[in-house]
Amino acid sequence: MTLRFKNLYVDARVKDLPLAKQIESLIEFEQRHEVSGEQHPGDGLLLTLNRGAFIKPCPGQKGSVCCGYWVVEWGMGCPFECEYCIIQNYTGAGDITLFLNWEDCRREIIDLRERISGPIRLGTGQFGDPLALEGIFPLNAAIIEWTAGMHDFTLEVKSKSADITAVMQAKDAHHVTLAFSLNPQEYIDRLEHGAASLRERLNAAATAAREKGCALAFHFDPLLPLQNWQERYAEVFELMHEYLHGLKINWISLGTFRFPKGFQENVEKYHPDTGILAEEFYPSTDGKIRYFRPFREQIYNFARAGLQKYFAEVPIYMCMETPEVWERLKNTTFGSADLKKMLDRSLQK
Amino acid sequence: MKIIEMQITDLKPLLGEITPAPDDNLVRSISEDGIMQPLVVSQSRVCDGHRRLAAFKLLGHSSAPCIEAAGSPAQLFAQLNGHRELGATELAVAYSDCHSEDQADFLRLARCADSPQLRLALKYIAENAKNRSNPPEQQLPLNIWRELGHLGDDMQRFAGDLLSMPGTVSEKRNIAMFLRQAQRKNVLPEKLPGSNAAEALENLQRLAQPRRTDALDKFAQALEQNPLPPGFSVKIDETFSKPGMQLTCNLTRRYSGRLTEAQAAIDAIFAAVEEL
Repeated sequence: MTLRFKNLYVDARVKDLPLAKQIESLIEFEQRHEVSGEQHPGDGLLLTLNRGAFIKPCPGQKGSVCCGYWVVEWGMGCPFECEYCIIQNYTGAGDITLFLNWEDCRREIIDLRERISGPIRLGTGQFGDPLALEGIFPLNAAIIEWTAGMHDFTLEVKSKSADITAVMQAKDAHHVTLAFSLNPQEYIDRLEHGAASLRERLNAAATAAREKGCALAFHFDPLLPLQNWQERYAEVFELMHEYLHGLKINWISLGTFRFPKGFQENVEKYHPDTGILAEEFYPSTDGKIRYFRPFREQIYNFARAGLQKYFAEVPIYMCMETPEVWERLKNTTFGSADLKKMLDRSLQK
Repeated sequence: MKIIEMQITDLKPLLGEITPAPDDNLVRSISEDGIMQPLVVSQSRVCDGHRRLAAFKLLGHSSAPCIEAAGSPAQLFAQLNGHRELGATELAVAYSDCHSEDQADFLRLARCADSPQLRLALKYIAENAKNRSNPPEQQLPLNIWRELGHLGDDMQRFAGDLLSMPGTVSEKRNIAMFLRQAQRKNVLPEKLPGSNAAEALENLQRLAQPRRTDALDKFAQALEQNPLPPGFSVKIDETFSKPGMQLTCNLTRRYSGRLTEAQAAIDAIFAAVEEL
């Protein structure tokens, strides 16, 4: 599918790069503008340079239990329009920024491996859906190639797209953790506009794991307690078992819907009829707005029990949740260091 | 820039009936020193200088010095008052004066985040301001109106009552938030459930936040059934973000045995309220 943009903005500093020309030839756009700087002018695609760091520790949230993940800031934006997505807070709907100075990205990954001892989990799915843009911006394929054979290193490629060409065409994908965000099909139809269906995602996961030997991961984030949520999620767990039985899954994460102050206005601007805000929300101690804490615990307990029925050996963790919730669910104190250890250990199995 | 003397009877204030009254200092200053800054007028509408014009009228003048400016009166009003935050009513009245194609520019000049909800709220406020013979003493800030704007067609049912209901601005802000929550959950009542803001707020919260209400009721009941000994008190986080209770005790040597009694009560409360 060809991506279409109203405007193509090309930073003068990248206009002569072969990658910029390649992207230009692969997309459709109405007007082309030459610009300077990293500031997105709005309503289109911006090709520019990343003058900051490409590799950063996952920003997590102050006061939350976090897993010690590293993220690649390859740009920002996503062709999918998920109604709950936090990217709406940072960029206009459909606006995408891509950084083309990949050589800096490669150098920073190599530096990171040299600088940090122990396992590294690096992900490309923090600032948008990486595979959804792979057709025009094949950075995942490049990182897979750069990091093949790297000691104690996994690249998590997290997506809602079923286009896994980047993984399938890799010479070596054993260091890749191919991850998919999952939700019941009914929610996908209603909230994840443009994304692949649940069965397409599971099928893509199973294909990549069987044919390329990569490990898998799944993210139920956000878990949304919409109508009949227990039945709907139970169906997803059963379907996962059907498709993924016997395959290596590194981890499964859970996260209930949460958002910072002001996010609601943006969601309602782009999706005025969304039903995802029809719940009781409260500000947490870390400043994020979440469901009522006892209700979050109920959701987590349900999801953990449902997943453990089929995936007893897979570590299931909660993303950006408070230490209080961890403590009540695990009956013991559990901090960021414990979580990091749990996920690193899973990589070594 | 040319200053012209215009007949006061020919000047129409953009803000119409809601033009603020001039204070004594302004009237005295104009009467003693004359006007220091001419009014700004466009298409015979006063865009800046509403209070000065009112003071002129009060002092019995028949004309006022004006500067004729080109452009939409509402946009000029927003530009010339850019140094201060406009009140919801003056913003709404000026907005209602704009042609539909100029409304987005007007909101930008007035530094307001444009949204369908804000536009709906402004339309309601302007109509209400024009139709009311006695404006209410309390004004609601724009953020409450914007919240009410989310109610869409249901806004009419609550806005007037909320404006005239006794209560603080903070209570009204929370009422607006709970009305929105209740609407999303399809439990919006027919009218504001209470005769004052505190009462309406409590009743609305019970409707919009049943989980929290249930948990708080359970806690109150458990505490009643398991009273703490004298000198002990418990507090909980009412949003339940933090689990557990905060126990305070004030003991003398003689009554240290009350610790055991308190322990039993606390255990019973924990058993009864799983949310803690």
